[in-house]
Amino acid sequence: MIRTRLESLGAYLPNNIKSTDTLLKEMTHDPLIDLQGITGIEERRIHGENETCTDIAIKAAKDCLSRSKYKPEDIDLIIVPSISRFNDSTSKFLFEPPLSLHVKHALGMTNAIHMDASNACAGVVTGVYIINSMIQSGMIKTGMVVSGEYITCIAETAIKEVTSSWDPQFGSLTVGDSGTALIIDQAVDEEDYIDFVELMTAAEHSELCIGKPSELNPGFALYTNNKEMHKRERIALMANFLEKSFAKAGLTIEGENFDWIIHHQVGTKAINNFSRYIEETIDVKLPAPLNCVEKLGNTATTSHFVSIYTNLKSGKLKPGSKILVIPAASGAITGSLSIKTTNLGI
Amino acid sequence: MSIHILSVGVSTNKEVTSSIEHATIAANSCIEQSGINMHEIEHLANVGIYRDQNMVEPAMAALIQKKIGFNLDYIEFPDHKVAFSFDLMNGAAGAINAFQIAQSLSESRNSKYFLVVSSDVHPSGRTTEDFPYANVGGAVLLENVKDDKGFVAFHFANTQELIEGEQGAVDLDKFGTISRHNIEVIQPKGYVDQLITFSASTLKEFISKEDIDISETALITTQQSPDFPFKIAEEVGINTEAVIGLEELGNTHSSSFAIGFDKLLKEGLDQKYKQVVFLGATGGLTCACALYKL
Repeated sequence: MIRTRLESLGAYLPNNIKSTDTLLKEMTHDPLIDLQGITGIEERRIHGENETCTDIAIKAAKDCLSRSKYKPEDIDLIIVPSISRFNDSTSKFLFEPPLSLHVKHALGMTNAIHMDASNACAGVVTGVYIINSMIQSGMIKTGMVVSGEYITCIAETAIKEVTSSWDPQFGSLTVGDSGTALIIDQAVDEEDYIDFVELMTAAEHSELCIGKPSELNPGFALYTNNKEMHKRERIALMANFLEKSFAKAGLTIEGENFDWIIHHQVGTKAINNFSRYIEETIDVKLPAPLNCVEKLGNTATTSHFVSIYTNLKSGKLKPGSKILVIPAASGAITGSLSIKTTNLGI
Repeated sequence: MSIHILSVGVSTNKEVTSSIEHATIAANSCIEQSGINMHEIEHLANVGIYRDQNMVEPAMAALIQKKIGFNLDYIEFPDHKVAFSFDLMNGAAGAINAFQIAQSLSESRNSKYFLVVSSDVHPSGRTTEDFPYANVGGAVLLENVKDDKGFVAFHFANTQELIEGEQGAVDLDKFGTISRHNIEVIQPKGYVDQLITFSASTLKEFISKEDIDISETALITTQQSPDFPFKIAEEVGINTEAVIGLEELGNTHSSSFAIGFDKLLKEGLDQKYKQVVFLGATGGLTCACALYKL
């Protein structure tokens, strides 16, 4: 079976920066929490005034295309998996037509099949899963996953409604806006490849995190049962499925000599706990986590690939690195993506 | 290797007022008819657009998977296996994208069963005059089979110019604290006629490209108007008798293919025709075609 690769990666980070300190001062009720202490998040990006999800996605896609050998008309499939779906205004949430239609037209992807995929914070990895399969089966040659998140819409609600660190909207205070875009095609050498991508939905836990409009204030809200979401049993499933996925690929985690692991960027302590619980559960030594959460917050669907992008830019992530990506999302979704990247030129 | 429709399920009970509920009822009926163990299903895609209470997370597919009860957590339930579910959104045409993805997963991962579900109930559960979609749900169970029947070709087309057509959105400024229970669907004047013209021309291209004998072909389309499929058929020369109309239900939107195929089977048309063209038309303008050998 052929392997695919990440041919190009782009990102867009809005210019507006809001510190955690500033966010706490904006809250209607003083929740008396050390948010930065709990999460490790110092600051996050906030979309520009009137900057929509589509605007953010287009900017990320253009950045991606700027380093790609492909032109927009070479892309066979575009998938937009954004959770937030503001297209022509920051107050109108669009269900149809899909955002991918608008992004595709803006970029001139005249030959691309388009669709939106919605799968909570695992959306981009879901897009990779689909495109990887369609390239392997010969249905397409190139695909782009592009996500633009104005996810701080849930933080705007949480700022008004959260009363304590036990509040189900607490997690909404950690999010930040961003865009990411990936072009995937067939791997041509041992320098850049996606070894495998495996995903599962443990739907028994699908009701632990629900996003819908608030009934107290205009805007979307995200209600999470944090205690249940981050229970050892959830991590046990993450660990067990990780081990299964490697065994299915005929590999072992340690045998792959990963340079980094990238968890979903929920917070530094949570990330360290994920790794620690996995190590204890399946008796494995994981590589160090590669994060961006401290400066960007939880960027929802874009988190893993924004981490790759920003760490390449800073030089912390070197070309030729092997990375283990572990999604964790409402659904509850877990899985793994094994990727080597050398020539992204970031 | 190709993907066959093993069974379909339909939910049309007007007492049901939830997309999740309709999709689950249709799926349960579909799985029961198939005779398979539901824990053999590895993938579930929900292609319905409208969501109960305008929920945006998790994927509705995960909530539907939970209600159906398959592969929920293989550690907590040792007889369960691994499944992956997600939502695909492409207006009324999403099922065609799902069929193509199912085909690719059958080849790349040797995936055996893929369930496609759909429903488009008003987020409040109520039926209103200004919400154009029927209160129904559908399910299609696809099976990976080693032969030359099933889905054999796909074709996707868009107008060069972006024509949104049907737009469904919730305006948070307008609806404020009752946004959970409201949605606005706008269809500009002339949209359906434009869509018929574009769909007919795309179907002609597909017929030519795949050398389809239309005398042996039944047609199942999205249902933007009662005469939508018939007007397209007339343009391309397909006999009226070969067209599945769902005018008794109304605009079945993303569930048109499940319900249409169910009707085709019930009327015995799978014995009369050798193949089916599924045509998904939606805003974009977008037209997606799939050829299915019976």
